[in-house]
Amino acid sequence: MSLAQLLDLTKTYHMGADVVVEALRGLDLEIEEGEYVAVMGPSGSGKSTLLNLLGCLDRPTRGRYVLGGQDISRLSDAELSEVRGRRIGFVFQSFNLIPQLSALDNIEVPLFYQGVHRRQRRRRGRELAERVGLGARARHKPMELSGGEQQRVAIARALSNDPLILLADEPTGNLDSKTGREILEIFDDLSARGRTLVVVTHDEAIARRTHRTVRMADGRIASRISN
Amino acid sequence: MLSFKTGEILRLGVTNLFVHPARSILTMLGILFGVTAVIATLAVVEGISEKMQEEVLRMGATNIIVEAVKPAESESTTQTQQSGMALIYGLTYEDAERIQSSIQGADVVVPARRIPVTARYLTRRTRAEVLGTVPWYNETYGIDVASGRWLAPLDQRKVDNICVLGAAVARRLFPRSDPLGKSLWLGPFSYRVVGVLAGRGKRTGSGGENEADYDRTIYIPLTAASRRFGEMVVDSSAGSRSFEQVELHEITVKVPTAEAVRPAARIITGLLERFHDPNKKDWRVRVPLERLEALERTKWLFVVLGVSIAAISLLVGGIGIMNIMLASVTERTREIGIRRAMGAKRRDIISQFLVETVVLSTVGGAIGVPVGVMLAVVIPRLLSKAATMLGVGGEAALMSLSRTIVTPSAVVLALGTSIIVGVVSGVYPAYRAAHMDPIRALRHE
Repeated sequence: MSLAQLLDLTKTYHMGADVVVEALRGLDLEIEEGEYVAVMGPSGSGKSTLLNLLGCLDRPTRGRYVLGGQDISRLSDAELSEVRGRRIGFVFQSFNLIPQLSALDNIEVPLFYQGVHRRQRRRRGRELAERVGLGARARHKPMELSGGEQQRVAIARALSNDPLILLADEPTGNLDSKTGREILEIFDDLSARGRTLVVVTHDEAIARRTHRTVRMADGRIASRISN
Repeated sequence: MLSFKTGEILRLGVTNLFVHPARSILTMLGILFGVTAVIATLAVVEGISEKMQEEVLRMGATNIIVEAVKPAESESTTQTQQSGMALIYGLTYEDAERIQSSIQGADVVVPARRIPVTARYLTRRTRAEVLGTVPWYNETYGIDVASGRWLAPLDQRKVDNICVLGAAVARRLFPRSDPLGKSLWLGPFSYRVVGVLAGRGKRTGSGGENEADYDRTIYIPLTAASRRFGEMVVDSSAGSRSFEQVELHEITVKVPTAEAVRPAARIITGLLERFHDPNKKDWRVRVPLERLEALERTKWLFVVLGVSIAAISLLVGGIGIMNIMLASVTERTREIGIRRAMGAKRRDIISQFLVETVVLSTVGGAIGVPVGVMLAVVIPRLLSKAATMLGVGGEAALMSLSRTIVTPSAVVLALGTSIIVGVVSGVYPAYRAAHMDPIRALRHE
């Protein structure tokens, strides 16, 4: 059975009284365990909405979303938080680190909400900082780190709860090409170790590194190409 | 796990407050001043109240005081003038006996006569009031003898011409010498001084005509008073002469318990109503306990007044906290989005912000308590300085503020209120933070 199943997924936003935006119109998608998927498409095609639904930040208007055997289409806000905390890892374009926390503290944030004990959190945080090549910079605040370093912190944070699926939204969008490549190498490495990844991107070069590219248009999947 | 998380969230809250230390301290000041005001106000009110309570208790909480009252009706005055007779009124020895026999367990019935006199010693003279009374008067009123002794039962039986001086009288007549053993003149009679009382100050409260100045009283045995001065009192102080015939000016009844005070007072009132002329009410029953209770009510009025003033400053402090927290929530929208994406539940966000407001207000309160206590210590000192500058009148007015008392309940009240203010002012900002859409919060610039 696949890791994530999206069946006839619809998402409608009501903007004001009469304006209805159909971001997703009956989308079907399956993601296998260990798969590395790129999601592409023009802006407004529903990429972000798909990512928000995959990340349990939102609920579909209609349709079903099953993640790791659990139907999450109708979970409460608290239950969704729980799923995010245990099963999802996020990497954002703009890193989204908490400025007043050190890199290490940022990495530990998901564990904090899982109720993991401080000492255990610290151990896991150090281990991950080491793994993404942060080393001695782990005690610095995000402001004191370069973009590449910040994204490494974000990746370490996304991995801290050992998620079922890692979701990345334009992870190299704010980085120069050399740093971007370094980040993508981390992704390749994660994929090689069996991590499931979904990357939303405009960059064909990134898409070529993945197992499969899903192209979206008008809230539906236009094509699925295995790379 | 909950307690683990509580500790963690507390740590998180404190850490966040240190991100903007100046802002946190300024926000805290509102609560600090509020708590200071609560502590200081309650200390002043408590001080005044205790002082007044002491005054009442000096009269005795289990005492019932029956006083002779000069009838005020013009009818009786004209009668006196027409007949050329002295005005006859007041309490009698019979009254005292009736009260004694009617009230069970009435410990002491203390009859007393008050006679205004001019006391003389050598060339010195002073106006004073002679109080003829029984030896157990001091048990009821708790009189302190500074030197010598109090009236003894033997004095009573022997009808001796001895007296005990109030502090002011002693000072006036014997400024440089020891009055003990000296003989002074009370009107036409010579009395030997056997004791001098410690100064007690003025009795305060509603002033009745029998409201005496303890320090200006000369105490003599009741038997001597009625034998020497007779029942007729001639007061020729103000040029004109007035004649009054009074057996007893005062009867004090001491009952064993506070519960017995009211029933006993009713019986006494009943007795006096039966045996005295209803058209010429020449007596009055005073119950210090009732005054105490009235005082208690007055005190609550002051407490409510003071606390409302303090509550306003706490309210302002709370509004300050809420204002800062709302700004902080907006400022940290993105952080909230990040935390939500990382698995924070709404209640995690709520507790994070609540902890910040509660820590702010509690620390403000915790600093405010000692500041309030210091203020309570300083107020009487400052006021006594101010009083000496104002002179005699101001001194009297400010005397009532000469003592402040910080009670544990005031501290608990102030601290408790500051914590509640923290919670209340944090609820709305925390709710706003927790109910943000995580997706929008993440995109917030």
